Amino acid sequence: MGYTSVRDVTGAVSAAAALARKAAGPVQTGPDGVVVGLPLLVDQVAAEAGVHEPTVCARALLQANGDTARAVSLLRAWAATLPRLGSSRAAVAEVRAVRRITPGFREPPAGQYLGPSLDYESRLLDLDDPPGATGPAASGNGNGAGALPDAHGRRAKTPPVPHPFPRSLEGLDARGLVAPAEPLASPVDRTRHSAGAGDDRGAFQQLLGRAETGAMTAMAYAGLRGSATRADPTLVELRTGGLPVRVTHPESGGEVVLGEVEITMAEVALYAVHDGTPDARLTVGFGATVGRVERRAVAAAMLDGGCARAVPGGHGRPAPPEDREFLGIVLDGQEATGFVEHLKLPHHVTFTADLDRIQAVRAGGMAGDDEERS
Amino acid sequence: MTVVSRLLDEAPATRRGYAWGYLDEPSKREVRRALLKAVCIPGHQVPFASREMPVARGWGSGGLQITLSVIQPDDTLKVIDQGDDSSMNAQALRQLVAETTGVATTTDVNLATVVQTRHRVPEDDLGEGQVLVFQVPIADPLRVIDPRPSVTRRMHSEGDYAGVWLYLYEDTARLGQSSFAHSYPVEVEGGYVMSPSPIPRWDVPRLDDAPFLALYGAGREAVVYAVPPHTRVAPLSFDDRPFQRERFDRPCRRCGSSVSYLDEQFVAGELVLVCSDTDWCRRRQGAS
Repeated sequence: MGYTSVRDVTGAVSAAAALARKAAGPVQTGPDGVVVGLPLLVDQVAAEAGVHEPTVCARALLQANGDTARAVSLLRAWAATLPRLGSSRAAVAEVRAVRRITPGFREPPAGQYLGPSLDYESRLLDLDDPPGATGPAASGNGNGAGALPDAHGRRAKTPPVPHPFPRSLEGLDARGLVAPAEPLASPVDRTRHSAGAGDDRGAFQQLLGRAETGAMTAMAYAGLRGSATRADPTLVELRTGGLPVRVTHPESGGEVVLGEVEITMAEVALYAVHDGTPDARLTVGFGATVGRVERRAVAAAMLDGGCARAVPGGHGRPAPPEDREFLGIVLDGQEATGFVEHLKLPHHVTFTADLDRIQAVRAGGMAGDDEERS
Repeated sequence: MTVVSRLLDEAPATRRGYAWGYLDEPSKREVRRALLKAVCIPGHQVPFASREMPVARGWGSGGLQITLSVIQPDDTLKVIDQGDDSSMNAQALRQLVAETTGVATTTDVNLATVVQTRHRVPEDDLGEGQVLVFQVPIADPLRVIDPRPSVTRRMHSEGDYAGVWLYLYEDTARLGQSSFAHSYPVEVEGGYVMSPSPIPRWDVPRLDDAPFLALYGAGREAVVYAVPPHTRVAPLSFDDRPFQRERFDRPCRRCGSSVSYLDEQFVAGELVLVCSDTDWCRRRQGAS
């Protein structure tokens, strides 16, 4: 499957890159400078922390000397002390898209919009100018149409993108080719529920939403590379845009829009072969992340889809990328980095206990079996 | 009062922007409810909604949540790591609790009402009313049998400890003894098998019928468990292969003790043994 649907016939690629650069803005200092100059780094930290507050995320990055894991730690500990005042159910269809691609479909209903993206730009390191000051003058919205808006603030908006978008899978769904999502996700907040609640798909989605970017990418890659012969994932929808946050007004009881959260969503369709038999329906995985680190959403969708209809492997349990319980153990960056780095704490008491066992076994082994000592 | 405490007295009692004891009251209530259940079911791992703490996961976040949830303004706190009050992480944890509560701190376990510890039980005998809070990296003693929490939860609920006994048997058959160096699995009041946290085997018998309350917190793994006072705690062992503590062929170089857990240290190029409980050792040196 190639990228036949993305062809730079109208200057779309350079416009997409210019949009992304324009969003990055000129070099500044302090938290605001980080927000403007390193937007994807801020997005990664915001997503992994589960705290969508760009300026505070930038502050955490600065305090952590740029260490994303430490910045996430600062943010999560801070957020843990804040009261939860409300919750909101988000409707995917409400996202105001600024970017939408459908690699699985050449010409989907409502079309494709590259939006701000560096995907198709060359990766030549620019040694001349500071980031943000280069790039051709933008003249489109990534689809070769419309005017580039003023990029005041963090993100550029591209008004001509249609709203709402239909899902690219709707046609296949109507023809009965898509297996129903299973199990349906229920909204669970893992940070406020006891351990063990993590088995639910909703809790798994929250785990994926905050998962460490590199770890999640590695696990998705392992699934893609390891099971390519029996599950062929196709990205059928990738959308970036603003998701309105609606809450119930405490007094009037009416619905109020508090604002928009930037979000990237992905849907992956899996065609699987189980025991040599092709599955008669597609399994769809869904992934979402706040911000625009798109590989987070794609990897999350792959892992969600992989776990949705996973079949046990050779030892009666699914492969690691399809094992929700295993992923639940390894994907949280704070748990992983914290525990790996705790080896820097003193361990001489337990190490002495280890040495005592080794010496005891060596002493005991002398009397008997030579082979056991080797 | 010690040097550390005097230093802390100069710090503000609470930290701007944070609640007394850092955690908000609903979070403390959540931890205390889990602890109450844990005390009622000794050795049983009770899940709780572990909060993200201002220390890294795996650096005592579970013990810290327990300490902050049970501590009262008139308590006196001691924090040790490997038996040492001046270990950097112990200092950081002690300072955090002191800064956000204003409670008195000490290095003398006899003056402490709450002791948070990593990897040791203090050498002094703790008494009635004292609380010992353990930091736990790996809560489940059956992790070596199966890495899946869903599987080990079922084993615990069914009292199915065949796996760990078999592990012990295979160790004994191959090595002549158990290979468990620390975190030695124990049976609590004839029921649940529990990890006493990575304390050395030296400390395990001191948990049996102990007069103090032992609380265990695993923040990363989001469980707490407990051993209430005067509870039977027995290391898993066969009748003809008795449980062994660590053996030391020399006394402590500093205080001459031969009744305490010792660490290897290089002093002037020579390998010597010294007490791991630094305050105990210091008091013995002062007395002699």
